[in-house]
Amino acid sequence: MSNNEDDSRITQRYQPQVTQRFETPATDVDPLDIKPNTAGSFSCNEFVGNHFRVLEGPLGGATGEGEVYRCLDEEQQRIVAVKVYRNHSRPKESIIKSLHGLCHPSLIRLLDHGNWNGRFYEVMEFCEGGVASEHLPIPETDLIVFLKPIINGLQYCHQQGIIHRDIKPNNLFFRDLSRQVLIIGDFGISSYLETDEQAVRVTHTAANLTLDYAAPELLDGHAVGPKTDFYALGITLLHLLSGKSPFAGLSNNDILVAHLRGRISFPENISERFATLIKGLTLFDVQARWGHEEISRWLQGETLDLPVNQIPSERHSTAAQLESSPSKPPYPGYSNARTPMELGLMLNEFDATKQLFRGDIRRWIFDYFDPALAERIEVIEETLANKPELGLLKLQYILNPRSPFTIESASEKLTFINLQDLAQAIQQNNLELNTIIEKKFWDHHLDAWIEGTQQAGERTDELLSRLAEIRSRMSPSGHKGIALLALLYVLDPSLPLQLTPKLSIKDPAELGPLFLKHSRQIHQAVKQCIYNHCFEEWLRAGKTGDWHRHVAFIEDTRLRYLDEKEVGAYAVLWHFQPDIPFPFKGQAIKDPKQLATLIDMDADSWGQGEALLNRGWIRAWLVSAEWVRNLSALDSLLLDTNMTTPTKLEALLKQLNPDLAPPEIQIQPRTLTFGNIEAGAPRSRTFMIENHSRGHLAGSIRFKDYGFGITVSPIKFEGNTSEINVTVDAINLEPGGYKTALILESNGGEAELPIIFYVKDEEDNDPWWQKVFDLISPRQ
Amino acid sequence: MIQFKSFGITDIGRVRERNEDHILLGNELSNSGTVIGGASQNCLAIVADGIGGAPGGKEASFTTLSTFRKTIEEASQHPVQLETLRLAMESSNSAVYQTGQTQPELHGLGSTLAGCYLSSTQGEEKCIIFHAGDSRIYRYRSGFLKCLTRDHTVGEYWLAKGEIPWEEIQTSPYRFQLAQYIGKVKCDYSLEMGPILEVGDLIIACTDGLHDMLNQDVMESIIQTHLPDLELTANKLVEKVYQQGAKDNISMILISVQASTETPREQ
Repeated sequence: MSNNEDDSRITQRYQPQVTQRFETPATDVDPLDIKPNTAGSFSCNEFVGNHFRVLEGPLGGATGEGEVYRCLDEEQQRIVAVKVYRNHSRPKESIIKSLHGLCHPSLIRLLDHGNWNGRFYEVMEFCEGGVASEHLPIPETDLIVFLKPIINGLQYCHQQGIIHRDIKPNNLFFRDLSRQVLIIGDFGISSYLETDEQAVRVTHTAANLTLDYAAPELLDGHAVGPKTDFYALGITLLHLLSGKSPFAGLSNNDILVAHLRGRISFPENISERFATLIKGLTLFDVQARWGHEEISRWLQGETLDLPVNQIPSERHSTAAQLESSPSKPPYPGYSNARTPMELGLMLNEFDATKQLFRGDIRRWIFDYFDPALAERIEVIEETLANKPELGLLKLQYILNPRSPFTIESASEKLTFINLQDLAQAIQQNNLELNTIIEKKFWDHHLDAWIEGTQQAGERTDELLSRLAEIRSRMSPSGHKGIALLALLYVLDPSLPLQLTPKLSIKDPAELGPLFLKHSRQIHQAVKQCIYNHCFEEWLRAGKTGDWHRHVAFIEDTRLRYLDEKEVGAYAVLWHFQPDIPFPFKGQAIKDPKQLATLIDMDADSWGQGEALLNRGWIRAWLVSAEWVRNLSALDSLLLDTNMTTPTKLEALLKQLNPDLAPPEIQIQPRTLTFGNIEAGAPRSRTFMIENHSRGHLAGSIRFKDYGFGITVSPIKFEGNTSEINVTVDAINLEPGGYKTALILESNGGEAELPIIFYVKDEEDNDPWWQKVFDLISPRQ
Repeated sequence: MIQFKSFGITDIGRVRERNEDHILLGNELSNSGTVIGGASQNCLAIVADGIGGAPGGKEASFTTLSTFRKTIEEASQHPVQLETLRLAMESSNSAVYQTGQTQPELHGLGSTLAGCYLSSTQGEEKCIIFHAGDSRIYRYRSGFLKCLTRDHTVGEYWLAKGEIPWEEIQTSPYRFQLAQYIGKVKCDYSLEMGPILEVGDLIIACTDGLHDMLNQDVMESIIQTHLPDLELTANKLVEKVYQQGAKDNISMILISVQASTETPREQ
């Protein structure tokens, strides 16, 4: 491009080209994820924010992230680029913060940001000189000049903990129309490098990845670091020098393989010196790959030794055997695949299912690569022929152990490279996502990934058996959500039990102290955790201490107190912390004796005591806090269907507080005398039973010997006063005097009520009192 | 409990002057036509392909299978033990070798052999497969035909040894030459436990007259279409081979693994 054209023409020509920076990537990464939308949300002269007037845009349509406009900053009277993000999408707060902190001559400056009509926007320096990809090819002599500031800019970013992750010709800009300075722009997907752990944010959407410039570690899910940017810079240099991407015209898959196998083709016209630089920058091995230091030395004209490019698959244990070599033929069924890993990446390009279950793939691997790997494939052949789709998936994971676990929902595609990421995603409580994960769990897809990629290392087999165990305990329809919880805790057994957004425990023993501080909150949270199975599944997965007993207890509690969840929650709290007091009448009860005394206080407290007993509170406390020595005796009392609640309560109170006086039975009158009774004319009398002490009197009546035509009603009595009716009928009784008695047995002692009557002989004319007298003084 | 039904066929083909194959199904040895095996708790099925086209070919496959049958009958075991099958292999081999030694006009005779012994007794299921040469055992399951044996050819031998570059092996005229066969001085045959059987599986023992003439897609499709009728399936396969020219003798035995209709034995 000539610089001799006059300025106005250049302006006209080049300003729109700035838009190119936001164009979709050169490769067809995933066309479904990129939605070009040339009709922008803002038109000319409309305002973004209070003082950014739209002059032009959206530049180059919209990207997955948002739209960019050339605007006039009316306050500062300068031209700026304003990027308006899609609804609800915005960079992480931490990124915005750190991007604002970036100030380096080689980086496009972030000037401002804000919210406008619910959308997030960034205001950036506008580069009049346009995007580098529009000024190609760049001669080597120029590129050497441009390179120094760019690597300094990158180094500065890296020192601030930022990995750009998207260095490419479309993201390099000429600051001004002189085009003497190339600078780095668009940090839209940069992420913050967490310095304390190797954990860079690795979960990414496919749409955000520009495949042509992506380092192998970005593709196969290994840790991303500063060298990732230098790899991208290497490919970018190739592109800038030759005028096109070295992968132009290749399919995504070919590009992937090229990166992973270190197959990058160099145009002929590149100098030896530049080729060395680019080779150094695109070394597969991150350690060996060139960075800022090597480029600086190269720029100074030093000759650097280029290490041998480590063969990609040597990073894996069996990799030496998986390496292709002239002595190993490509896979006969699909000759583009020369190693198992390549085959794993190409399974959807031929009828791999058929060849898998016919044993063809296993044979090739057995013959030329790794018998142990072949054996794993044979297991698929033998066990999954009736589930070919799952079999193929498993094969893919086995062949390429670096495969991520992918989840595609209607709106996004997520990839996970380890179990922790997956566990984290589940915790986001995204219903759509979790439904998919749960389904993949039931479909064994998750198992296929874990097993195929040996995701959990030495723990893999155990993890798999745990997943199977969850499936054996549950059913997809009967345990919606619960299975997912169980899965979550099994995936990451180190997870604490989250009680509230702020409170969590690592050990159930922490419940007690927490409860003392935040009783109401913890009670509610525990209640929820019991009834949504969270607590049980967390304990099961943790497998620490006495988990068997705890799980059994919580399970029992959940089922026993289905209708009394308040009680259930307390039961569990008492189970883990027996000295949590029993709440009664606003008092904190410390021991059963105290409770018994309080209940016994008056009729009102007695009534409340009955309610507690019926709702299960008292049992829950006694059992959970381990006040009971003989549980079966307690349960047989509580479950006795012949006893009324007050009677049970009386019995229980006496047990809890042996100092309580028992009820005391009194009867009135002391003797029942009926006199003369004729057959066919029954006679009745009543007597009263009273409690002369505290508590609840209850008992029953029996005959001392034979019934002698006597009827007693009722034969059970209860409460402080009872009236009992006694009827004597002479039918079938021999004439004569009768003396018998009723025995009253009660919780307030035993009493005897004598009964005396005389059955008249039809021909006997003695007065009745004579018979009575005879009875009292028996005849000689 | 499972049981086996089987059907065997051996056919001269279109080109050869005589059938040098033999099949053995149960105790029935045949050189022409079909053999039907009723439902049974065990099944011995072997195909043998006499080598060379010389008069000795037919003799060799006959000697192979008749010696095999005799060894099994003499052992009189239920189920037949792995060691008995080994003995039968050895006996067949030395019988054929001896024939070559004692009858100079038959010198150099030999035979392939591919067979399986399936049994289901007392709840224990067994599948033993054995072979020498390029006759094969296949298993058909869920639409996929998987070969359970590896041909004893020079090419495979070189491959296993790993000393010769694969390009050389693939272009060598010797690659299909038999490395092992019954009648060799010392035959390094294969004898091993086969895969776990499932109801619905179809096991096929066949000579190269079948698998050299039909590709796997064709075989799978014919089997899929005509199962569970074994006779029809076998006939359709032979018919297809005829359409392709039937340049060699064709022999195969199909065994289907079925759920036993008998009430299970006492525990």
